Amino acid sequence: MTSRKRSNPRTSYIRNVLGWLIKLSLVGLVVLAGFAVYFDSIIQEKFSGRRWTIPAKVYARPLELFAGQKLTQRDFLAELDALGYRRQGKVSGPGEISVASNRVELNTRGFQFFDGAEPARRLQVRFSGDSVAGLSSAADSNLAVARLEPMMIGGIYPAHNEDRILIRLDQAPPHLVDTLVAVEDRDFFEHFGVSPKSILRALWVNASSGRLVQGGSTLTQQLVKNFYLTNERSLTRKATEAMMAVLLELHYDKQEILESYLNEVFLGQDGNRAIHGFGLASQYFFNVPLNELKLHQVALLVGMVKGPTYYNPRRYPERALQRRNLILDLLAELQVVSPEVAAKAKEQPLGVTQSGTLANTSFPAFTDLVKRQLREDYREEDLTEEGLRVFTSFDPILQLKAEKAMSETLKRFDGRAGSAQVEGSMVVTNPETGEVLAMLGGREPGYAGFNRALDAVRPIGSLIKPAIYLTALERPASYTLTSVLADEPFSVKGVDGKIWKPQNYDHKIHGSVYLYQALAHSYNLSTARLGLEIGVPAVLKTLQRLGIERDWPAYPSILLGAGALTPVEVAGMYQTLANGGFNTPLRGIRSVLTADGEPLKRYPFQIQQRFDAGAIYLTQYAMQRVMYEGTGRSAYNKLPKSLGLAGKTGTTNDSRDSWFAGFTQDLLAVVWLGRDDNGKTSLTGATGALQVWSDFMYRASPLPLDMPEPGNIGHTWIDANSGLGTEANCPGAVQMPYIRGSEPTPGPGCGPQAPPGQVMDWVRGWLQ
Amino acid sequence: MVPQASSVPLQTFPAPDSSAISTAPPITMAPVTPDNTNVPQNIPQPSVPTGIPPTTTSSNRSSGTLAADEQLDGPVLALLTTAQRQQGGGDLNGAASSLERAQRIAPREPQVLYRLAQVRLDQGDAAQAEQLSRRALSYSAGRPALQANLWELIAKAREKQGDAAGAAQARQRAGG
Repeated sequence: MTSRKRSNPRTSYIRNVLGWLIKLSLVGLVVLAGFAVYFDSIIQEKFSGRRWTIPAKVYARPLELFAGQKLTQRDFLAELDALGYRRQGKVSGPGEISVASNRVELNTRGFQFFDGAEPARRLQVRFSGDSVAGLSSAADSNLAVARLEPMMIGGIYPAHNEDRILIRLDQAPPHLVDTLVAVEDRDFFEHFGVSPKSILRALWVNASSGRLVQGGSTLTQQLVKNFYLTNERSLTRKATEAMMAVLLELHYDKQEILESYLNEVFLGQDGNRAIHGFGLASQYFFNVPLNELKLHQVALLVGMVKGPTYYNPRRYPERALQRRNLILDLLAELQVVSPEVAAKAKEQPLGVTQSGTLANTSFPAFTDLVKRQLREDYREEDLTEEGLRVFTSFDPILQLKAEKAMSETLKRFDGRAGSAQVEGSMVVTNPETGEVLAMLGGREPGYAGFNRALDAVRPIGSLIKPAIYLTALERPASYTLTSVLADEPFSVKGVDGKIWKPQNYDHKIHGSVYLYQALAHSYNLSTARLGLEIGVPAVLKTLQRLGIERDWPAYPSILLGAGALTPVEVAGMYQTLANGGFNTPLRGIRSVLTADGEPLKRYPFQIQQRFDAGAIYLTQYAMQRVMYEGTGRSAYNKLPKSLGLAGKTGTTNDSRDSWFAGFTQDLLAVVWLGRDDNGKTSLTGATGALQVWSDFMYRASPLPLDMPEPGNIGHTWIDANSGLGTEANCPGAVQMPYIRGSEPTPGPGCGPQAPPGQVMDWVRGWLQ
Repeated sequence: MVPQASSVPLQTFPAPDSSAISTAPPITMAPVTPDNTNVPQNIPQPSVPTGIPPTTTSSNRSSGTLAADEQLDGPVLALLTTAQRQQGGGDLNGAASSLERAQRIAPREPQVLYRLAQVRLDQGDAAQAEQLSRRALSYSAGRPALQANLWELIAKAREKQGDAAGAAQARQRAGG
């Protein structure tokens, strides 16, 4: 009894303790279950929905390939280099090319476009001179047309962000998964989220080496940590992590977890942008899609998982190389690859590109244009989170030519007074489609600062003159190209009593001149007189129809270009002149696809006829004379006369602005040079902007301007001296275009031929 | 060049400085074309007085009766075929996209603009259908069959815009 008595308190004590323990553990289990349910909901929520926000990506135009296309082999190779194609002796897979003297063989990568998928395929492109002579594929010896995948030229990033290119597991290159598992989590395919074996092994390794070498975290735990937890190092966090890892494994299979890991892992920092996932890392470090990575590149990226900053191959190439080779050794040791394959991979250089050019966009002016357009149509979150794909008309080949023309020409000006402060900008478009092809926001290429192409509002000087002449030529009853204008001084009194007294640039008076000559030589006196005759409001109306949306006062000074525009506005104005009088709003974006490649929005080609084709034809003709004999003639020092260039120079007071706007059949370019502080320069439109323009056209080798002749235009023989109609065989007879019915009256003809002395007189007059 | 505080000109009158006029060079009518001796010999001097290429080539080149598809180049024909398939399948946006691709390759091929105009009409944008047809007409010299088709399309587009008189006018040109 006593023993019982004695034992009684003990057993009751034990019972008590046990009871408490059971109760406690029950409570614990309930709490744990609560946590589990809670964690589970977190996991499900994040994992079942959209897992990442992805910034929109902006693409250049895809390069089209077809027989007869104007494209040099050199430019083609430059594009392929920029797309990360590798030169090989023999093409064996996507992203590879082999080059012969006038032939390029390549295996394209394929791409999802707005209008359908372009397959990855083997192509052979043959060149002859400056164009593509033939195109063939394995299936088709005479392939009609193919296009490359477009170059990515930038993204729309929030201030601080994660960026990634999502990939599917089946897009992983050979050995990526093997290597990752071998290095980070050898038991991945066996464990249930946590791996006691690896924890023990990590403990042992760490203990024996005396420092923290191995983490012991499974890939699942790492994913959970990145996805849901902070970087805090505590036991509670570790326990949470383990629990969530187990839960994640309960809900999702290994493949899905692995794919998420490949997309989630942090692999580098690019300014404000964090490089996440192997898909983006592959582009960022090697400039190729993930599936084209070779073993040594895979090893490098997997090695970087441990410490993306510490093993940054651009900053610490030695360290990164060591780590890569260590991993290649490990792969051989674990028999993932043969020792020979590993040894061969170890011989490879790191092979990272010089710089990751994806984020700090290389073409800031153009991407700026695109962003402004997109912000009109989308909310900021849509652009920075939805992974939209934006397809543009940007032509990287022409952009590089424009950059080169600007920098090389400005270099030639070095040493002239104030030339160091001269800034420049340029807009290049396709006159027939209205697409913006290239854009420079400043003289320094790639420098994202003040975008002068869009934001520098400067007086346009004589660039306005074609609008005045067009206004006149729309009235064929009153004006033709050979109407005689008086280039003589005058002054005008405004309502306020102020006198406006224009002057010619050369301070000379040119007397009676033909209308087209006044434009060709940019005479101010005759132009201003003409403008006043037809009325400033009429000229303003024409400008509006040309696409200028500025509310300028109807002052006479507007006639000589006091009104200020941005280069892109000037491009819009000249677009209508170049495109037969059809106005086309300038476009930089073609279409937008969702992240999954579903068509979302198109920016269609739209035109509106604003002017009579005949009046435009005559204006273009006069603008061709600007280039042939007028202020633009120096362009032909560099370019063949057969191009039939049309354009106009513009210079403002004290050469503060040097402008040129002009076009060929397939290219329209506007160049502005000047100083941001609006100071004086030594450059006129002809000695400054035109030089950049000509150099660009020389590099771009455009198509000659060939204006289709409108039905209401006829060509008439006239006497150069009198401007009266004459016969083709008379001396001094020249042919001029007229709107039918406005031809000059016939003169006396050449029955008694004009004395040769008189002819020499006007030749002298022309020469001076 | 700076905008002055003056408004619309009220009057024009000769500058008071009459000496400027008297010292002006003798008024000579500048020639429309330079004398041959002043022009480099390599410049073509056709009927047009400058190096501007003769404009008649455009109409010569595109001369032909019917705008048959076989006149088209490989890539344009291929893209028109693709567009037709897309249009047939109801994918009007895809068709328009393919046609704009063809337009970039051959911006002056009126058949491309014609097809694009048809797609726009199907999409309900009659105004653009008419404008595109008009642009196509400007490139259709010497192709009467295509011109007739384009006028017919303009007539339809005008009908859809409620312009019966304009439609009748266009139809008349289609018939003629």
